[in-house]
Amino acid sequence: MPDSNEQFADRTKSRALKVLLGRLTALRPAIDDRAARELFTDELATDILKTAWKYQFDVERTECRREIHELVEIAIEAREVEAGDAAE
Amino acid sequence: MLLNSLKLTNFGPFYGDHLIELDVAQSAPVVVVHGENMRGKTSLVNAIRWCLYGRVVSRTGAPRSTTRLISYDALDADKYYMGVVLTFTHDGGSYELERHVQSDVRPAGDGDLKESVSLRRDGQFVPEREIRDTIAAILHDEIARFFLFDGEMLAQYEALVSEDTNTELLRQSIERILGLPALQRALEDIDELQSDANQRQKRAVRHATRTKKLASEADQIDGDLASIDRDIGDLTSIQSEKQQQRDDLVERRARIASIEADAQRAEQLNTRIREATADRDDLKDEIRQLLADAWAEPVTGRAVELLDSLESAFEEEQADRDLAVQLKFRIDHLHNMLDGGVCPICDHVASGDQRTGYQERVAELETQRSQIQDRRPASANLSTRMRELRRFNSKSGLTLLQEKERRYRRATLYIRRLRQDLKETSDRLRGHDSAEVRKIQEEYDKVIGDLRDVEHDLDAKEAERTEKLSDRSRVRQQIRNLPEASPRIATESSVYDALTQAFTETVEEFREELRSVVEEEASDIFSQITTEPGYDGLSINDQYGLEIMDTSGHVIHERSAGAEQVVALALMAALNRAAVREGPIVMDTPFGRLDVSHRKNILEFVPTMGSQVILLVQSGEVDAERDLIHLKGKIGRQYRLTRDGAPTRSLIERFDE
Repeated sequence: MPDSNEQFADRTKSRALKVLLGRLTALRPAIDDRAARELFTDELATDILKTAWKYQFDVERTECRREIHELVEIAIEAREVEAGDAAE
Repeated sequence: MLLNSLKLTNFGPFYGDHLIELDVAQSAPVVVVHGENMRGKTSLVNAIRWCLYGRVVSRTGAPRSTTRLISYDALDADKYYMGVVLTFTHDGGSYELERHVQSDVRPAGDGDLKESVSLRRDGQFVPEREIRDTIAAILHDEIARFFLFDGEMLAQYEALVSEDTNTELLRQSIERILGLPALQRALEDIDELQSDANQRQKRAVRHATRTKKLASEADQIDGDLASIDRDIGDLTSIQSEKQQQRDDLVERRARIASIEADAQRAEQLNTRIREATADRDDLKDEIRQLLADAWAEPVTGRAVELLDSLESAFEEEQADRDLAVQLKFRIDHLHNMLDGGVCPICDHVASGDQRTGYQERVAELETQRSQIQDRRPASANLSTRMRELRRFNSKSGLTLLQEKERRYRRATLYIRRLRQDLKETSDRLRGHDSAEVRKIQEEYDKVIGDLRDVEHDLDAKEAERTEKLSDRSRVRQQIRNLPEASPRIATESSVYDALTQAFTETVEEFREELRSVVEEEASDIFSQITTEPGYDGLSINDQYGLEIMDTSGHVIHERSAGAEQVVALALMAALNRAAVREGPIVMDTPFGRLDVSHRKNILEFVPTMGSQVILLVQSGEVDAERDLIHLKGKIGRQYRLTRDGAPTRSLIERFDE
């Protein structure tokens, strides 16, 4: 039996993450938009799930949405930077 | 989270200050609190809930007034203060949570109470605005019900296997403790972010004339979708309402079934009362007759003697009668021979000497016959006299009278009990008429019909929604592909689309996985605690209800109340194992319907349920000497709740094993 809440939460979160990453792998090849396909990474999905987990009991969703949006924005910007670097 | 202590002041039956230490070593994680009914076991659970969340709900889920939690004795002593201090440890930190209410006047309602709450972590005060969130992060109110539960809660779990019962809320609660809302809420968030991205994209392309049509179409679809969502919301409300009506009617129908049984019973009782009264009246007549004959009691002995002699005389007379008949036959026979000179049987011809002998013999026989007939007048009225005397010759009149009086008293008592039973049955029947069953059935049929219609409408709306979503996706894609569209927003939107699909599929798959986890854990626990070797395990349904499977893989449909409780406890323990949080498990009166063997198995299992298990038990369910031996040194602390003089006051006393 896990002996701390962290372990309890981690165990369940890991289960959810495993399922989510499995879905990502299955869905990724079917995404037409190349940019979206490249952004649809395990890292982004993991970060979004962690954020969702953190706010799972919150009825007020503004903060959670802001953080998810920020994660997507950062991923897009990073890709743009990478694309820029590659172009140079 | 592990509880260290609970201090109560004027809470429920605990007038004044009371402290209960709860910290336990991992080797002996069980705290047992013994208390008979009305001693305050549930108040201890309520005190923990109230201190953590500032509210207590009744067993039906309705919020309870805080004023009503205050000790009556405190109010009567003009002490308008109630407080609870809970100390606990969590992830290495020590916490002290204090909540109290007070009033300057005797509180008539919660509006008169001023509430204060404070929380210290490692001795430092947590800002008041952060207290609620801090507690929620440690043990959220929504999942606390799985840690702080009572026998009633187990009954709710038992209802999960019934398809007739509306257990949607409980199902949601179970999914909450398992972490599913994290994904569901994330999906809603992503959907919202997607809408926002599309709004921004529409604004970006709106200035171009050729895109106006698409933007307008997108607006139209968004409007339609909003309208469909509203309709779905309304239909879902109606569906919930109808489901509630259906459940109420099912409950009323069950009540009516018992009313029907009562009506039949009343009829049977009336018949039995009539029969018993008639029997008693017969007894009354017999007693009256016996009393009328009571004068004969002193002569009974003499009468019996006389009857004995009369019976002897009667027997003699019978013998004489038989002899007289035989004599007559023989005399007649001899006369025939004398008259005809020949024997009528064998045709023997009598000689002269023989005829003389026959005549002498006839004379002898006539003399004997005459003597017998002379005796007969003396015994002619024997039968009549014997009949009279036999009245004294069975049991004595006094014995008979006593026996009949006993039977009369028993009959009277029996009738009284029947009448009492009839009165109680009639009281239950009052206000109900026989047409009620039919009326309820009609209402039930109508509600079921309405529900079917609503579900049909909902299905149609869902189909319409799916179609509109597809249209929206198409239009959004077209807008994204416009040269005027922002490529960045288009990419963002595509990412949200992909995330939506991934999270939608994940929710379903994760839900299935959670069900498997719960089923596996519950089966494992169930096989540890069941005493029935023919049971193989448990199978879970969509509502998280559990069915017992036998070794041949068949579902056991008939389950005893005890088996229901074992299954519910297995589910409870499985949920705790699979939960997103660990917390102290507080069980109030959980063994009510268990037999000795199941109680033994469950008590042996309890210490493995968590790092801290607090059992609140009463003597009817757990016998301290017989049952607690199964906890074998796993009890960290034991307390007893006792009366403190007045019936409204209780004390907490610690005692060792």
